[in-house]
Amino acid sequence: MNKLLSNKWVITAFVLPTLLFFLGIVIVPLFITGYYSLFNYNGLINIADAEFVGAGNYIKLFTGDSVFLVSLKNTAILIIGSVFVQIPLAFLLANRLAKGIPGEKAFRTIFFIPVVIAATIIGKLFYYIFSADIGMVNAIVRALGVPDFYFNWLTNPATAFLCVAFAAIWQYIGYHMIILYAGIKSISADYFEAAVIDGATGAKATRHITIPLLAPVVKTCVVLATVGSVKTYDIVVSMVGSGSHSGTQVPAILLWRNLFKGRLVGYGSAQAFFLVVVCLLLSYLIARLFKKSEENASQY
Amino acid sequence: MNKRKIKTIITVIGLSLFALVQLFPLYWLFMFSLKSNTDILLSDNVLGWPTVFQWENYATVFSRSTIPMYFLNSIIYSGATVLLAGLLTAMTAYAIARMKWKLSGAVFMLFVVGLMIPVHAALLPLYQVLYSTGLRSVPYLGLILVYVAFAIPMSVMILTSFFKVLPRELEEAAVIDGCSIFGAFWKIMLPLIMPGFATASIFTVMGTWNDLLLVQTYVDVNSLKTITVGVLDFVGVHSRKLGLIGAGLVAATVPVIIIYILFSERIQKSLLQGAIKG
Amino acid sequence: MKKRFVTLLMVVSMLLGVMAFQPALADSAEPITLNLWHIYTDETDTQRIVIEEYIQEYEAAHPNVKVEQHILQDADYKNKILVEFSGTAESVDVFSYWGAGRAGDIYNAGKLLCVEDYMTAEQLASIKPGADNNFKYDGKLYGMPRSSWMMVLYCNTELFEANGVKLPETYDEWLDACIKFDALNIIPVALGGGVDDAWQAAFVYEALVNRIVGADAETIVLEAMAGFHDNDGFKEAAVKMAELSTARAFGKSPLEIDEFTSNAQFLSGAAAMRLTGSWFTKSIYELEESLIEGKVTALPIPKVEGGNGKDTDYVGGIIDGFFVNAATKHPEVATDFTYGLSLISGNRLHEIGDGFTAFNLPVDESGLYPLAVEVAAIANRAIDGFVAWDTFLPGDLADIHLDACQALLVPNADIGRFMDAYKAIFD
Repeated sequence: MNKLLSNKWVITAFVLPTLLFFLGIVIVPLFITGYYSLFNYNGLINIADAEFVGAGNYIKLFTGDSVFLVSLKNTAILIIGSVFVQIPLAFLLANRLAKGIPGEKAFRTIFFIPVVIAATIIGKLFYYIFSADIGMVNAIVRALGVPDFYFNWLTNPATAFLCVAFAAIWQYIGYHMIILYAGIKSISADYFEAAVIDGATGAKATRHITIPLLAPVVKTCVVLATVGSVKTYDIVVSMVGSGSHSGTQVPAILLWRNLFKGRLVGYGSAQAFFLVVVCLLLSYLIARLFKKSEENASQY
Repeated sequence: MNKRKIKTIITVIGLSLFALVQLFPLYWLFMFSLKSNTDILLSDNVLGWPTVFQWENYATVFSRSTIPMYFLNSIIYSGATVLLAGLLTAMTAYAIARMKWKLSGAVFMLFVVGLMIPVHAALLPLYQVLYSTGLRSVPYLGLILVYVAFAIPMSVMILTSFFKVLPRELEEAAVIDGCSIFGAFWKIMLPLIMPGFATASIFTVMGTWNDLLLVQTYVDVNSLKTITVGVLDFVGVHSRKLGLIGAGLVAATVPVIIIYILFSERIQKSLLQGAIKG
Repeated sequence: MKKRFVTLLMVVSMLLGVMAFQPALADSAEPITLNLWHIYTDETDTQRIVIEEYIQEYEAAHPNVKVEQHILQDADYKNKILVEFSGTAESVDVFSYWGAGRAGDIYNAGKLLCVEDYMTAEQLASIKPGADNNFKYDGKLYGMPRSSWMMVLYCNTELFEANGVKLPETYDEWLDACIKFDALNIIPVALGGGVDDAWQAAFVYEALVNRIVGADAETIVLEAMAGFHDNDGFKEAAVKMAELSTARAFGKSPLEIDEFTSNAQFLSGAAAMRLTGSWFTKSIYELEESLIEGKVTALPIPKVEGGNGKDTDYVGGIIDGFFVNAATKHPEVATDFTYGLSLISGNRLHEIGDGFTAFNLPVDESGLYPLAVEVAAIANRAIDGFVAWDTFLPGDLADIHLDACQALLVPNADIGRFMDAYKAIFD
């Protein structure tokens, strides 16, 4: 059996086409980005004429760029929110639906809908919810009896990014829910039957069977949530714009500004490359954290 | 009424309220598309109805001759990407999850790296790569290849985790029955993974349908553009009818929702089959 | 079989014979495709209408030329142009762009066509003197100017009269008027400088700089990219802008208001003033949400006492135009096309009050709206000016400027930080 599973021809046939695609279109440009990050390059001149600065751009990242550090902080907020609020909520919903409930199909379909709607639309919606002058939140508070209530949710540095994070996290609850739901449904019914025989149902079954067996799927969600947080862009721009005045910038905004508006292709590339490295580290950490639970799961 | 029933009813009510919240953006967008600029920009009635229903916004959007063409293109790009990416990644995910080879972990990590690349970073170099290989001049192909490449990491991740959850005995049973690994893959594993496949496809479609940046960068010919680009035709430099843009957005969003609902059906069907077989 | 073959041969040789006569005609007019790129996505936009009409005329007059339009919305357009020009941009022949620093980047990469080399003396002479300052590099013309704009303070006369407020001629009167309107719950100045329209916030700063530093000194500093910190006027302008913002001159949450919201505020009568470019006149008469037609007057930017700004100084100028790719395969045709396009666009925009043409040729001003005539009167008195800085500076420096100006709209704006930010630009 093991011999069959190590058949080199099959493995190559299954993996090589995908790999080639991927290397050519995703990895090669990444290395080119890394290459550009070593120069003072504005995208218009010939790269051969550009001035070589080596690690100069990277040093600037940490010494001269306070908005970059703020954007990293914002990314951290998004990651923490998604891993500790969004995914647990998604799990609760997925679990409840997977157990069976009238209208399950409809609920499942509906819960995912915000994910399908373009982030720019969601961003604009939340702008109209949190706007100080014409927003829903302020209007509701006023209607509830505080007549002069006026709060700058979107421009007060203390609350601005939290509102953006709220919108981003809310939008993607359904995303993780659907992945976890399919995962739960894939767990063979045999396990649950065996559990019933052993006297474990409901919450106990969830704790001892569902969650451990779901570990690989949860890991996927965590990695996706982390990476997605790093790439967040559209929802921020459509909700509060790309300026730095209220501390709402995220790395992707800075990348866009530097690479395209500002023509700082060399510097922007350094930021991009740095982000990729950060993501890699985070993924590695997540993988290690989950390794134990995966080993347990494959024992079943 | 026993305790269980009450619990169920309360749960259903709670879920229904949440469902209303999830549907709110669609309601809001629809109302937005029927409002005048004054309604949108000056009144604080986010939930409310338009003072005058501007149905003509929809007339304007649909009377444009370019709209059906853009729709068709969106469907072509998304459909081709789903099929090609789905096939490639199913095979690769299977190999990573179930077959034994030293590099499986490394290759997997490689795909994960791809997921992390913010598209803005790769845009310029990728353009230069595609340009120098002459791929840009072939209609549709260039952009489809880009979409597939960017869909690969996500698809591989989802499918790998699904393949891993399947019991080991399945391949053994298939081999005992006389199948090659290849056969086991096609006849047994792939059908069982349908829920995961449909899930991965939904994400692929999301990445391609709503995409704006890649289309604009890699497609110059108007007859090859998608519906998301089409909406921008209504965006003026110093003045614009926001409701009109809203109508365009509704036109661009509704199809994805329909596609999603159809795929949801597929998941449901496959899950039922899977449950019986498993 | 043989018969058929002979017939075929005869037909082919006949065709060849006929075709042999064609070259004489074909040679003088080989088919040419010109790729025109621009940002005017809205089909109701005057500039877009002008482009469509001009293309039809040009193709009719030159049957061998086909013009392909490539239209992208502003932000995406800038992306795309960079991506294209990172290579040879072979699918770009003519493109709309901004002169000075922005086109300067492309010029420095050697990718702008020197249109002067392909223009006739007549064509060159038709450009108003000084109108092409932002289109010249190393003394030669590298792009076509189109039209200029001017910043004015639009005032809702009905609101002023009804509330007994004086139309402001000086900064002090302006501040006073703002305080009065704020107390009456009327937005004093509708300013769309929030979200991603930071350029409107920059307008306020640039207006004050114009009045305090004066257009001449301003031009010297910007063109030399030095001397900003030596002139106290730049700092004073920031202080005054923060003062206005604190007095709620721009509403309670200026950072949340974008251009369209501020337009709507003014057009609906919810705001007393609007500080923006002369292109706005058209909106007052043509947009359906405008309730203020006939109730608006246009004032020059209020003077600052003790400031170096002359009465004839203005904010605005000619920065929008059309350029040609140096790698274009048809430089003569492209230049000829571009010249005509700029000329007709400039004149047409002038005729509807959406700008002031960069060309000397006669324009028909009879169709101008009354308010446009007022604005034109102010423009005719104006002599020295400077454009909006974000259209003058190259991309990354423009961003620093925009961010800094937007930050002045934050409560308790940090002036020290503002001044520091400009060290990156001017030193």
